[in-house]
Amino acid sequence: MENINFRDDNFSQTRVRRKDNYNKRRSDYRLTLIKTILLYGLILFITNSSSALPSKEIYKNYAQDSSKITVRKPLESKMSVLRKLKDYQYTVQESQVIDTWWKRLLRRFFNWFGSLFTGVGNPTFWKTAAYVFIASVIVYVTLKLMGVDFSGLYRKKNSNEIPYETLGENIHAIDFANAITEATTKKNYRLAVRLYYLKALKELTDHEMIDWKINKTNRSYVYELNSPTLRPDFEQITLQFEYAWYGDFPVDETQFIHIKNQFLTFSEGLSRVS
Amino acid sequence: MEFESRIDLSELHEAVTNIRAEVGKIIIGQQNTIDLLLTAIFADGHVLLEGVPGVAKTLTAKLLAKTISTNFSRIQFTPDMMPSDVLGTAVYNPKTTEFDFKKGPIFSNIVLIDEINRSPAKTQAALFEVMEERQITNSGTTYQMSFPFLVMATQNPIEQEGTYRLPEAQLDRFLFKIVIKYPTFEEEIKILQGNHERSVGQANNPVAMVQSVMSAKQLQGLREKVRLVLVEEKILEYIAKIIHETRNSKFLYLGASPRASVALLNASKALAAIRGRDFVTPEDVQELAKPVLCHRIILTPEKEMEGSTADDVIAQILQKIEVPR
Repeated sequence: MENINFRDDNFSQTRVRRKDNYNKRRSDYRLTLIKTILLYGLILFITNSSSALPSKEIYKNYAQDSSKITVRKPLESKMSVLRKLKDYQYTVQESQVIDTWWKRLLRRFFNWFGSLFTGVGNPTFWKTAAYVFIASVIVYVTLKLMGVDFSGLYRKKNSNEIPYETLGENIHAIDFANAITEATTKKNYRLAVRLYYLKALKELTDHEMIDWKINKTNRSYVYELNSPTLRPDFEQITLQFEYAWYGDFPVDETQFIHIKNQFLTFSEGLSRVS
Repeated sequence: MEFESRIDLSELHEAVTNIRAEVGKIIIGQQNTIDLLLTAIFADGHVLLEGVPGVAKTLTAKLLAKTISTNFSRIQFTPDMMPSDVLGTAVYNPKTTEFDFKKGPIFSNIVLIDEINRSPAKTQAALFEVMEERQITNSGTTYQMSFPFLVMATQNPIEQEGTYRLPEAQLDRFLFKIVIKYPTFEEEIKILQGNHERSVGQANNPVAMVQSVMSAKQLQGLREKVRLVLVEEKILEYIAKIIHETRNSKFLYLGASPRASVALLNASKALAAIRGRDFVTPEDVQELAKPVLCHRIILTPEKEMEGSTADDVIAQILQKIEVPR
């Protein structure tokens, strides 16, 4: 109950405070109105008072000054001396220096450029702005159609350019017969296995059985090869290549002959299928 | 003719098969997720699992943790969580009149942080040191984490209200961000069948059905073998080219860090070992490029407005770079 009474007291106090504030504001407004009326009244009184001043007729009875005025003029010699002084030279002398063609061109350009911005009401300004806008739109659309990427325009160019070639080794440009002979002569059987594998990939590409791409893994080609007769052999030679090349397994002459035969069997099978 | 592996990976192969079988008792499908989680375990990396609610993010992490006989703790991140709630705090001991460090739940082997983005930045920042250096410094004393230490965190990409986006430094500490998608129609039917069978058989706790199949010591030995996996120089160049390209791509505001290139290398080695090879192929690198890089790069605003994702840009980069052959 006490709480409820307390709330009621608060409420009534607030109401009283609000009423007081309202009355105070009302009396302030009245006072301001009275002051304004009084001020206007004062101004009107002063104006009327000035119009009620005595006329010129009143002054004609006063004594007038009739003494002779002597006009004094400065000496001409003194004036000519002063005229020659630098401080009294008000006209700007044109430069006697001969401008170069470049300066003249620049001056003309800046004069023209400045004239464009003499005001937005200037019709030349709007005409030029319209031309610039249309030209920008044409350039933007043309570049966009050409596939130019604008995202890098406002970005800081990365100083770390890619230090490696992302272009792949072209298997169609390798002379496999010579390269394999050379590797075998040098007893670099590991390299010879690699060349045989690349040759197998080239042959599959030539027969349109796989789609050669630099990013594809060997397993991708295995999955891509649809021929059920070729796939097991290709899987086997892929395994041999992976062990020899990625696994860095040493390949001796006997092993090489065995692997070579597997590659030859695959090539024969490929020529038969196609 | 067959080449013989120079590293004995039979034990690793056996462990992987057993883990897959155990997790597969409950989890239907998600082979790619499980393979990536295994890769992270063998590559010694933390994993961020992202997916909509109800796709078994937490369950997969719990089951995988169960297959390794180590300590496991789960921390539910909440908005009012403090760093000391995760790391631990110094408590006054009246008997000794000294402050004793009371270890937090992070002191475990496999830690599942559920809904990591629900916690504010200061709590997330508490994980920086422990995730990278496997240690916690409190009041001038450094506490080393016991082996193995693996953080598996989950987050929901849909609900954004009341969440705090993980900072880049935090994201960079995760080896993978694995996005778990909805199961296929057939998988959904199998999930329902499995759930129904378990409820009929009163086996309502799926975690209890999974057995530990690998010890911490075994894991340590297998990780040593993974480290020995051979990486040919051309493959190293291939990884470097991919990472370098992310830094030069006009579609990316932030490229990948050197930590990302190391992560891609280690993960590729682990994946090669899981697949029974003692050497890395470009295939391994390509397959892991997305989960390793997708959370470490930031797209330009223009590219984001086009609706492209980090995965799209990574795919474009992979298309551009020649596979070493």
